[in-house]
Amino acid sequence: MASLTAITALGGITACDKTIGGIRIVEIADCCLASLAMRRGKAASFRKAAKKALGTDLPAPGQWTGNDTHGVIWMGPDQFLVEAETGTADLAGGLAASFGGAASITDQSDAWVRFDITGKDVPAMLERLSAADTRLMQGGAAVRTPIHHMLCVLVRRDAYISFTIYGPRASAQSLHHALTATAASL
Amino acid sequence: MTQVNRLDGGLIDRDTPLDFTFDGRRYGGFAGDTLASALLANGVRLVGRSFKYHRPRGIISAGSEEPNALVELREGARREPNSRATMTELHDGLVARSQNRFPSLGFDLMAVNDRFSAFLGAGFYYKTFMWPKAFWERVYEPLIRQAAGLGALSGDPDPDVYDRGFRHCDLLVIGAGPAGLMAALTAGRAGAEVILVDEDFRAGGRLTMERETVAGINGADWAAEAAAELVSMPNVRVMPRSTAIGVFDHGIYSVLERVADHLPVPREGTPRQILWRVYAKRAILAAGATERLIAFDNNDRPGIMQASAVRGYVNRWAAAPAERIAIFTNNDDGHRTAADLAAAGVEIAAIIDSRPDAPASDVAELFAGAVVSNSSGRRGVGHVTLRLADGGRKHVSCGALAVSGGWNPNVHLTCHHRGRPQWQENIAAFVPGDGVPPGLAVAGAARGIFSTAGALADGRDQALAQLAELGIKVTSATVPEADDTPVKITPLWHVGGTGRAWLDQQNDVTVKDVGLAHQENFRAVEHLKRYTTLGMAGDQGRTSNVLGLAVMAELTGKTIADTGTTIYRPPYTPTPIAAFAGRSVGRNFRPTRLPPSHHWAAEQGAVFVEAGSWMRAQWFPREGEVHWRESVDREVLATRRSVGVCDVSTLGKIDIQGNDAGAFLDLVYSNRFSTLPVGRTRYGLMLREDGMVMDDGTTARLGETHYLMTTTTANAVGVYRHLEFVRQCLRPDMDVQLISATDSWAQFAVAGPNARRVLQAVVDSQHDISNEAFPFMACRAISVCGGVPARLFRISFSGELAYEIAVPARYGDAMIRALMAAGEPHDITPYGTEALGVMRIEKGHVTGNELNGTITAHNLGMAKMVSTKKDSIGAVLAGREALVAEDGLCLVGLQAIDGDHVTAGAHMFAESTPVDAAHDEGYVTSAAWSPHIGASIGLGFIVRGANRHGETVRLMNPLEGRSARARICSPHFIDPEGERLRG
Amino acid sequence: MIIEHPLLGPRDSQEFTCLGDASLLQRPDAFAGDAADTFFDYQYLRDNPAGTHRELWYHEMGDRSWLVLTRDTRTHEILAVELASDVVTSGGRS
Repeated sequence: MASLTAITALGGITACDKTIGGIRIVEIADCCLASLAMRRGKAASFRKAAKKALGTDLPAPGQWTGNDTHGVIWMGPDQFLVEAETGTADLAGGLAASFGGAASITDQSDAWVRFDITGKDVPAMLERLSAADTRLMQGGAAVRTPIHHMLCVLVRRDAYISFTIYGPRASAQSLHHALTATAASL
Repeated sequence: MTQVNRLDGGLIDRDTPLDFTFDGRRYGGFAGDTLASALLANGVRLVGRSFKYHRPRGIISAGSEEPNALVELREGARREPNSRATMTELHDGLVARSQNRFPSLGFDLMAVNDRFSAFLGAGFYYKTFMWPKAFWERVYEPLIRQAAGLGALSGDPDPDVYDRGFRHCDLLVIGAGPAGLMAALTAGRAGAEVILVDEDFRAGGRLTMERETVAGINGADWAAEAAAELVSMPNVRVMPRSTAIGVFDHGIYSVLERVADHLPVPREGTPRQILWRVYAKRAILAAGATERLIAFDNNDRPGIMQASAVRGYVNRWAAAPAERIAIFTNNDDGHRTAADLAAAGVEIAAIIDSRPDAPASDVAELFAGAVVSNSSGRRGVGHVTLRLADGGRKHVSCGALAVSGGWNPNVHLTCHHRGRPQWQENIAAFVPGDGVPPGLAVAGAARGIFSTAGALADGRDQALAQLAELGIKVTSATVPEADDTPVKITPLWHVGGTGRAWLDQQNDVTVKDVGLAHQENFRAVEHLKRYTTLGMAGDQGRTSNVLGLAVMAELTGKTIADTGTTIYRPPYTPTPIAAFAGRSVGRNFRPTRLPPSHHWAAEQGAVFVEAGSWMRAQWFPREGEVHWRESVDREVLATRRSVGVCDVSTLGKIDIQGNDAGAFLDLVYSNRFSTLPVGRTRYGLMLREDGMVMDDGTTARLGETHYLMTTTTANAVGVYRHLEFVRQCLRPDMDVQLISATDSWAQFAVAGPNARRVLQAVVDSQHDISNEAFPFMACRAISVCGGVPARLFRISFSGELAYEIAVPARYGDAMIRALMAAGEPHDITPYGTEALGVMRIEKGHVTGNELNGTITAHNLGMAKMVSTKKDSIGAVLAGREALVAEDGLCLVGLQAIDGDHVTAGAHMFAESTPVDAAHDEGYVTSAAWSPHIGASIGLGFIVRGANRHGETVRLMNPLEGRSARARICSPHFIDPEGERLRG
Repeated sequence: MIIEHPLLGPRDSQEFTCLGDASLLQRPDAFAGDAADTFFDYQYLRDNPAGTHRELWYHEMGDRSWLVLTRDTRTHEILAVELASDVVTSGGRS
C-alpha cells in the first residue's frame, strides 16, 4: 500500500522561499497548529491547563505569547491558535489530553498557509496590504485582519522586522501572489 | 526649437532639456515644466475645443482647477484622455494631443455648434429631443454621444498596475503651502506622527509662484528648506503628487498618489498610482484658494487666464503667456501681477481695475473704474475692448489677459460630510461653515486667510490646537516673518454685454444660461446646477460656481449669502476608476480558492469553473470528446456503472464542540441532532427565522460533545456567520465552540457500485468498512495508506453506494492519485461538477437552485423534518398559514416529452390555459440531460405538485422565446427506494 | 467608519458585516401561546430610525465577535460598542 506524500499549501514538495528586493518570503510547511477554545465556565482550569501544557500565559486580545516549544495567538474571545514545533506528533491529541473537559481542541495544521516575511522593506510592503497599523505593532502583537479580502493573521513575534502571516490554506496561491507582487512593486 | 516666450529665472532645470510633441509638432521644455508651462513657453495658446460649442480654448490656470486645457496623453494602451495639462509634469518624449476636434484643432467642423448656440442653451436636451419617442435610443442618443464628450479611451486594457494602501498618523496635513508647511513643521517638531500630502510635485504652494520673502529668503527657497526638514524627520512622511480626494467618517481620508504619472512608463512592477486610505486622528486642511475670473463677452478666448496663473507661469516656470499682457482686476492682487510682469520684463498692455479708487500704478497704464467688455482675435485673444469709467470705449491689443476676480478658499473637503460654506463679505468669498468633518481643522487661505504671514501663523495655530487635542505637548513654535498684505476687493462678477459671457468653461455654461434658468424658475442653487450643468464638470466648478451663484443672486435680488452655495462630493479632483480597483482586476479581481486536488485535475486537462471563489473541475474531457456533454454523460454513466471520484472539499465544514453542541444543533436545524448516535451522520435542514430554507447538509457526530457540520459550498460563509449569531447573540449561555474546518480537509466522494472495493484498497486493513460494520450514514475516524489519519462518511449525493473520504489537506493531492490507482481495476472515472449536478438531479437532491430563499420545507415535501416538539430557528414562522397551504408549490421531477428540453427558469402552465402571470403554476429550478433516463429532465416547483405526477405541463421561457412540454413525475428519477445507497 | 472594538480597539468598519436592529437579540419564546405573533414582530417589525440606534455588527474579517453598536444614523457617531454576548448575558437584551 502506497503511503501518501504531503505537498505544501502552494503545491510544492518543498516549501517556497523567495527573495524579492529587500523582502524574503518563506512558506513554512508542516505547520503544527491547533485551535484551543475554552469550554464555558471552565476559565480557571482552562488557564491552569494552558500554563502547564504550553508553558506560557495565554495572550491578551490582539497578542501572541510564546516560548521555545509553543506559540499562542489570540483569535477571538476565549479562542486561541496554538503553534508547535514542526514535527510535533498529534498536537491536537496531546492538547486534548492536557485540557480534558476544559477546552475544545481542533487540529488546524492544514487549515492555514504560513508565510514568514523578513527584510527592511516589510513595513512598506505591509502598509500596501493591510489596514492594520503594522508600523506600530510591537513584538508580541497579533492581529486578524483581511489581506485582499482573505482573513489573515499577522504576528510580530519580536523586535526584528519580521512577520508571520497566516492565511486560508485554499487561498495560498492568491495570498502568495499578493505578497510577491507587492514586494516587487516597492 | 525656440521657446519664444521663455524668460530668465524660474524653478526649472535648464540643464535637463526635454522634448515633447503636441498634436504631432515637436517642442522643447525643461525638467520642472508642466505640459501647460512648456506649451506657453513655446507660444502655444490654443490647446483644446470646448465640450458643447467647440470653441477654441486655452490654458486658464496653473493648478488642479484647470477647466479647459484637457488633453490626451501618451499612445497605445496608455492613452489617457482628459488629462489636465496644468497637472502633467513634462517628461522626455511626452506625446500629447488636443481633443474634441475634427479634423484638426485649428479647423474644427463641429465648431458649427457655436453658430447654433441660440438653440443649444441650458436645458436644450430636455426641450429638443422629446419626440418622436422612437428616436430616443436609435437617433438622438448616438448623435449626442458622437457630438459631445471630450477625449476617447484607447479601448485597450490598461497595462499599468494600480495599488491601494493604508497609512496611519496623528495628524494629516493636506496641502504644502505656507499654512500646511507650518502646520507640519509644528507637529513634526513636536514628535507627532505626521503625513503631509500635496498635489504638486514641489512643496510650497503659492510660495513657488510668487516673488515673496519668508524668513528673509525667497519664499520658494524657504518652502524647499521646510520640506527638506520634514523629509528628514522619521515621524513625518511627505507625500508629493498626492491629492486628498475625500473625507470619510471618523478620520478616514482617501489620498491618491500619482507615483509614476510623471514618468514615461512606471518602473517595472511598480504601480502607476496608489489610492491610500489614511487613518488620521486629526487633520488640517490647508488646500489654499483658487482665483476666480470675471465674466464678460467672449471671455473664453485662449490667452485669457487667471492673473495668479500668469504670475505663476512667469515666476515659477519662466514662461510668459504672451509678449504683451493686459490685466483686468477688481482687487489689489491684479497689481501684484503687474509688478511681477514688470520685474520679469514682460510688456504690460494696460491695467484695467474696475474700482474707481484703484491704487495708482507705476509699471503700466491704469484704467481705473473701467472694465473689459469684450475680446477679439482668431484662435486666441488679440484685442480686448474696454468700457471706460466715462462710458467711452477703447481697444487694447494684447496676447493675454490676466484676470483677477478675487479668491475662493478651497473648502471642498469641508463639505464631504454635508458641511455648508458660509459667505464672508470682506473677502467676497465662501469660507468653511457648519458641518466641517469632526477632527478636521482648516488653516490659511482655505479659510480665507490670504496673506502669507497670516497663513503661516494660522498653520501653526491650527496645528497647536490639534496637538493639544491629541495630548502632545509643544514647547515653542515660532513663525517666520513674511508678507502681510490685507485683501482689498470690490466684487465684480460679470460685465454686462450682448454676447455670451462664460462662467463654466468646461461645461460651456454662460451668464445667459443662468438667466434662462432664472426665467424658467430654476432659481435654487441646486436647481440652477442641474438645469444648467454649472459646476458639474470634472473640475466641480472650482473656477465657476461662485460666479454663477453671484449672477443668480443679482437676478433674484438676493444677497449671495442668502442665495447660498451648492456643496461638493468626493473626489476633489478627477480620479481614475483604475485607482479604486487597485490590484483587484482580471484574474485577481478576488482571491481564488483551490481544492486540494487542483494540481492533479489540471494535469488531467480538467475544464474548470468558478464556484464562488473556488476553482472546481467542471468535467474531465478525454481525447476525441468534442462536446462537453460527451464528457459529462460518460462520467455519469461510468459512475453509475462502476465507480467515480469527485473532489468535494469545497463544501463548508464547521467543527462544533461543547457540552451543549447537540442542543445547539437542535436549535439551528429543524430536525433533531442531540439524539444522533456517535459514529452516525444525519441530513439536516436549516431554516431562516422567517421559515425559508437557508441551507442543508449532513452533520456527523464524531464524539459525545463533537459534531462536524457540512454546508453547501455557496453558503459556507453565511452559515458560519449565522451559527456565530446564534451562539453569541441568542444563546451565549450554551457551551458551544465553533471553528471552520473547510480548508483543513481534502474530501473526495467515491460513488458507484464498486466504491467500497476501491476504498478497501486504500483504507488500512484494521478498519472494517463492510456494509454490516459500516452501514449507510455511518462515519468514523480511520487511517489510510499506512497510517495517514482520515475520516470516512457513508453519505451519497449521487444516489449510488457512496462514501466521502477526508484526509488532511496536505495529503489531498496524494489521496486522489491513490484513489485513482486503487480504482484502476474498476475503471474509476473522475467526475466534475457537471456530472455531480446531473446525478443529484437524477436522484432528486436539492441544492442552491432549489433553495432560493423563497422555499420552505413544506415546498420540498420535507415538512415532517420541522420538529414541533423542540424550539428551532424558523419553526414558528414556517408554520404560517399561507406557507403550509394545500395548494402551495411542491417539488416535482420533470421529464421532457417529444424530444423537448427542460430549461431552468422556465415557468409552468397547464395544457390549455393562457400564458400569463395569472395562470403561472410554478417554475423549473434545475435541468440536465439524463444519460440514465435518456431524456432531458429537471426539478421544479408547481402548485399541488405531489398530486400531479403523470400530468403534462408546458414549460414557457419567454425570455429565450422557447417552450417545451414535460411530464410531471417524482423528483427521484433514480432508485426511489434508496436501495443502491444501502447496498 | 471606525468601530472601537471593546477588545481590539479601533478597527475599520470594512472588516464588519452589519445586520441592523439589535432587537434581534430578543428572540421570543417559541412555546408561548402568542408565538406566531411575537415571532412575526421579531422577524419583520424592526426599527431603522434616523437618530440613535442599537445595531448588530459582526467582525467577520477579524475575531468573529458579534457587537452591539449604539450609533447615530444621521451623523455616524458611535456612542457605545459592546460584545453582544455580554449584552445578552447581563440581561440587557433591549
